[in-house]
Amino acid sequence: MNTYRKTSGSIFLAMAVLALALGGYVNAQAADLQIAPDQAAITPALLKAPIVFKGSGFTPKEIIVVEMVIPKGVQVKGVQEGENVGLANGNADEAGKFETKMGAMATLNTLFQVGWTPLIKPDFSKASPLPPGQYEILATGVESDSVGKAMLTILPPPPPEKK
Amino acid sequence: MMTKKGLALILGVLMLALVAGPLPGYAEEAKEAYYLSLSDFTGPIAGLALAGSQGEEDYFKYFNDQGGYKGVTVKYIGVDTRYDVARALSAYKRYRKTPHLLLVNTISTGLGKAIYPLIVRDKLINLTPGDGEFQAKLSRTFIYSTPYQDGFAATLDWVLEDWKKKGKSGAPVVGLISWDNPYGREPYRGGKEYAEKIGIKLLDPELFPPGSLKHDVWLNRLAKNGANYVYVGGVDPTQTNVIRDAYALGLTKDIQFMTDYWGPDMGVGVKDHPKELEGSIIVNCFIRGTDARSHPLGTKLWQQYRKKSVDEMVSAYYIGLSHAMHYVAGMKIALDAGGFEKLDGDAMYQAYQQLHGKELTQGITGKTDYSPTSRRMSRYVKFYQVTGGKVVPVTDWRMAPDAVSLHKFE
Repeated sequence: MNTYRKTSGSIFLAMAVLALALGGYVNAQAADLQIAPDQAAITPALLKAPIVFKGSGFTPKEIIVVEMVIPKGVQVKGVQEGENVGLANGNADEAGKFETKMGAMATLNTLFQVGWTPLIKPDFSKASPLPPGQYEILATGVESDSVGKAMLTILPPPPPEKK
Repeated sequence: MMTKKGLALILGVLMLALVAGPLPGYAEEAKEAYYLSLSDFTGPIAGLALAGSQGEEDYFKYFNDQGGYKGVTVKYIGVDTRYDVARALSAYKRYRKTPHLLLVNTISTGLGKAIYPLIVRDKLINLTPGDGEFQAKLSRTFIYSTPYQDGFAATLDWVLEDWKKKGKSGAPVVGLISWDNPYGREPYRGGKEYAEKIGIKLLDPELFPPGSLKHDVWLNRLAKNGANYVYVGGVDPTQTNVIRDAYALGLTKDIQFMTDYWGPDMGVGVKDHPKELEGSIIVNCFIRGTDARSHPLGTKLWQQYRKKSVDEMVSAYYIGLSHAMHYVAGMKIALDAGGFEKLDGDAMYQAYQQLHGKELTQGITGKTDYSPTSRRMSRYVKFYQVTGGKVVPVTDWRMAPDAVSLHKFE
């Protein structure tokens, strides 16, 4: 009885894995993602001119979630290891294209990694900016599961201006 | 066209699954229902939201420690969104297909509205703060408090009582000072109409950017315009700082200051500014102050799971307990109706609408109001006053007026 249960469980699991793998293979649609600029230093300029994400190849009108894949060893406030962090969101138009920019909250929380005062003010004295490096960015359509990928390079901070 | 490499990978996984046998726990058939809290643990409103989330988590632990219900326990998933819509959506995407995920709590109206299309698609339900629009336009979003405008209208009733008690003639003049955002404006969406109905003169709202350090300009304008009562919005210590500034300007002598649900807390503002806050009134849809610090269940859970003194308790812990208690009550109805196999967001949606008129929170809130025609957690509020460095009750639960229905929501 117990053996039968284990075996049937295994077969069920195996079939589920196969179905998921094949389903994913068949349904995976190539979406496109572009980032502008795709190289940036973390400076206050990003609050005035935020990073823009543009993509195509999505299902019309679907919600798009733009996320950063956190490399191993990089700590991001509020994000657990192995999780991606949301950077922006948008909606695809009738042609399956979208354009959205990184909001101030995402820029402050994820790029600058600021602290917050009890009066809802960003606290830059507690900021720990994302380290320079290459970061994979994913734009996922939540209906289609289509994914566009691109790389964002975080540059070292510019040297302080001479007085 | 599938490549040889792709085919080999799939076959490899298939073989691995066959060798590995059943998933751990599969044979035991663990029955867990899920609660997703898109909260804020390290961001701008963490001071309030974290305590609420701890209340949720602790009540579920307590419920599970008691054995759950019909063998079903609750798995709490807390996510630190840092009050950011992008992070909330990313987390929602990660968890949306979790089996037996029944409800998603969003810490702000903005987050709730952003995920709402997915809530509908996934047939879940959403809990969100006190925006009256969700009562005006019935949907799968349930308000987790008494709507802000209803609480404000109840405060206007209290103002009239107080005005008469003091033997004043004519109509009192009431002002509002709050954050310059949709939350800050919400009390007037229905509250303004209610004031007209009961003959109170409302001043134009004085709205300031969150993060303001001094509030003299806005306070002086309210005083100049003849305010007898001023209602202060924000999240403590914001209200404390506004009233602190009013005290420094000498305004608290002649103007009665009042705040909403997120106002001065014994663990936050009252601790630092008891003298300045003395006499301030707080309207609330869940218990706070001395009520909170003597509530049998709340204090027991706080000490048992947080291992901290009751003196360190923040009242928002109780709104979290209320969320969890409502969830458990809804889940029980859903389980009785269809068993664990049919326990899903739709079952929970039906169940929440059957909670009307029940006492579900051991006195932490008033009677529950959720029904086919109500998305209000409760119609009831209670008034508190800062007295001698404590927040003490000055009324029992009283039904708040229906200010939502007076406003035309676009």
